Order: sequence, then C-alpha cells, then structure tokens
Amino acid sequence: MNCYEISELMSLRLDIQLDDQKEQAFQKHLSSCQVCQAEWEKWRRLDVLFRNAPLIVPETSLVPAVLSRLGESRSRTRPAMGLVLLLVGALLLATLPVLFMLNGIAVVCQMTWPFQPLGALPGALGQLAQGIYLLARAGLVFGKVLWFVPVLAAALTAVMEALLLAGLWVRSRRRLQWGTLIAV
Amino acid sequence: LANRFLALAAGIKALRMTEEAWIRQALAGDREAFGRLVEAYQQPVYNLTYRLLGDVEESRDAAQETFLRAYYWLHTYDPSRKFSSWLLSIATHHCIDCLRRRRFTRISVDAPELLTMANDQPQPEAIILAQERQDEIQRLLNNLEPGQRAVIVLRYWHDCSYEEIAAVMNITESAVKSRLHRARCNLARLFEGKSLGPPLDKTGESG
Repeated sequence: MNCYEISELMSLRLDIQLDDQKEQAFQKHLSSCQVCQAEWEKWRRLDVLFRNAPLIVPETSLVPAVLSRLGESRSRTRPAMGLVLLLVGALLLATLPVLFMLNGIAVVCQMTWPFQPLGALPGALGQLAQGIYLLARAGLVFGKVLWFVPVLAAALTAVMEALLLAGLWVRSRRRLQWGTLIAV
Repeated sequence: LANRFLALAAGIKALRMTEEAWIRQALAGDREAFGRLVEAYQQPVYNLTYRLLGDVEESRDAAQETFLRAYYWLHTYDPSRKFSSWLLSIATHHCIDCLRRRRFTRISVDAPELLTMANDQPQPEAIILAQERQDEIQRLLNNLEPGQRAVIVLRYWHDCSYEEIAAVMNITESAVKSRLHRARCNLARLFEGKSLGPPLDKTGESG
C-alpha cells in the first residue's frame, strides 16, 4: 500500500473498522514510513482530544420554556409567506393572459395593438416586451378567426397558473412535515 | 458479574418501559409526561445543538425547537427506533438548516460566542487548560461544513455507530464513512501546528 491508500484508511482505523488484512498492511506501512507515522500521530491526538471533550449542558432546564410553547401554532409563518408569494406570483403571471385577453377584445373592437414600440426597449426588458408582443400577435391571428379563442386561452392559462401556484403553496406548507418525516 | 449485568439490563428495560409510557401519555395529550421526556433528553439534545451551532442562545432555541417539533410530530414516531436517535435526528436536521440559513445572514461564522468562565477570579491552571481545549474544539468544529460537523458530533459525543449516524442523518453508511474521513482530514489540517492535544505514549491505542 502507498501513502495515499494508508491515509484513506486512517478514519476507519480510528473507529476500529479495519479487517485483519488491511490492519496488517497499515501496520507494515506505518513501521516503515515516517511521514505517515507523523500524520497518524496527529489523527490520534485529535481523536483523543474529541473523545475526552465533555457534554455541554444547558445552564437552566429547558422544560419550562418548552412546556410553555407547546400550545403555539406550528404552521404560522411559512403558510403566510407562501400566501404572499402566491399572490405576487399570480399577479405577475396574470399579466400575460390579461394582455392576451385585451388583445382579443381589441380585435373585436377593430382596434390595433398599441404596444409594438415596446420591442425597441434595450436589453432583457426589450426581449420581454418583444415576447409579450409576439404572444399578443398570436392572439391577433386567432382573434381574426374567432374572437373568443384568445379569451378562452387566457382563461385556461389563468386556471393552469392558479393550479400550479396552489400546488407550489401546498408543497411549501408540507415541506416542514417532509423535513421531519425524513428525520423519522 | 452476571448478576450485575442482569441488573443493568433490567434497569435499561425499566427505563425503556417508563419512556414508552411517557410517550403514550404525551400522545394522549399529557404535557407533564412530555415534560419528563424533555427532562430526560435535554442534555444530549442541547449538547448536539451547541456543538453544531457554537452559540449559547442559538443552541438553546434550537434545542427547544427540537422538542416542540418532536411533540408536534410525536404521532409519527416509530417505537421500533430508539427515541433518542429520533430526537437527535430532528435536532441534526434543524441545526443543519440553521447553519445553511446562517450563510446568507452572516458573513463570518468564525467568531462564535464561546463558553467562557462566569467570574474573573484567578482559575486553577487545569481549569484554564480545559477551557482552552473546549474553545479549540469548538473552533475546529466551526470550521467544518454542516454535514461533516454533524457526523463528528454524533460520532464523538453521542457515541453513535456508523449505522446509527446513517439512520439519524438519513444517508448511507458509506456516505457516513466518507464524510467522517473528510471531516477528520479537515480537522487534521486545521489542527496543524497546534499543541493542545495530550501527548500519547507510543504503545497506547486511541480507541
């Protein structure tokens, strides 16, 4: 065995987990290698330091504090935060179907799409505006054929987003439970 | 010797039965019974949270939180497992979460509040040395990443076998072995040049 292989065995040896064959190889190498001897000595000193370290105890009993908090609601902060995130997310995402729907209405009312110049905006904002514009154009194509298609699509998108976000919210509520269940 | 062993075994069995009774009563809504469980396990749980978090206030909060979670999820406890392992598991996961959250709220975790002597009276040398060792141990631990810190604490202070650590942390035994190895490598590196460990005789085994 070389020095690297020996170093890989040191942790197991501290916990007396080496089989006879590896133990012998370990001893043999150590008796002839001063570098590994020095390293092993360091590991053993660390081991002794940690083994002899005392248990730290609380200065006063935890019982009164725990018992006084037993009645607290355990699911107070997370769902509240989840609800806020849900509402913000829903508002942001709702922008797209609303634009889509407005476009449908605009077509019905024989109006032209007013937001084309937004595509000239620089950077990511311009790309986002361009995306919204293209989506709106898609609505325009459908809108020429059947005006209710973009409205229907908008409604469906909204329902799907609501379902998705509700799912995320429930998941975030249950994460605490999963964390504990992993422990169980 | 056989008699003493039998007496010890009977004692452990009696303790387990008492513990089972407390758990049953706590499940039935008896808070006093749960208080007895807290009383019985507050020391190991607090030691774990302190060793992992390295801060008196934070570890006290974490230990309380562990018991509150245990009370809330007591109905999911599987009696075929050791109750102490179950509690340590909740505490470990909670502390690792705290440490990960702390990364975003604290720039440095290098300067934790270390346990210090309460009075300024001159201390006997032995006590000062013991305190220095405590500080050194905690400094070493604080430099490990949360997962490695947890395996070291469970191994050394809670005397957990590889199998028990795997169960507590919900990882495989081979992951426990490699984490322990990496943790000890890091500790050895951090330990370089320090002389706080006691000198060992050439023939003595550490373990």
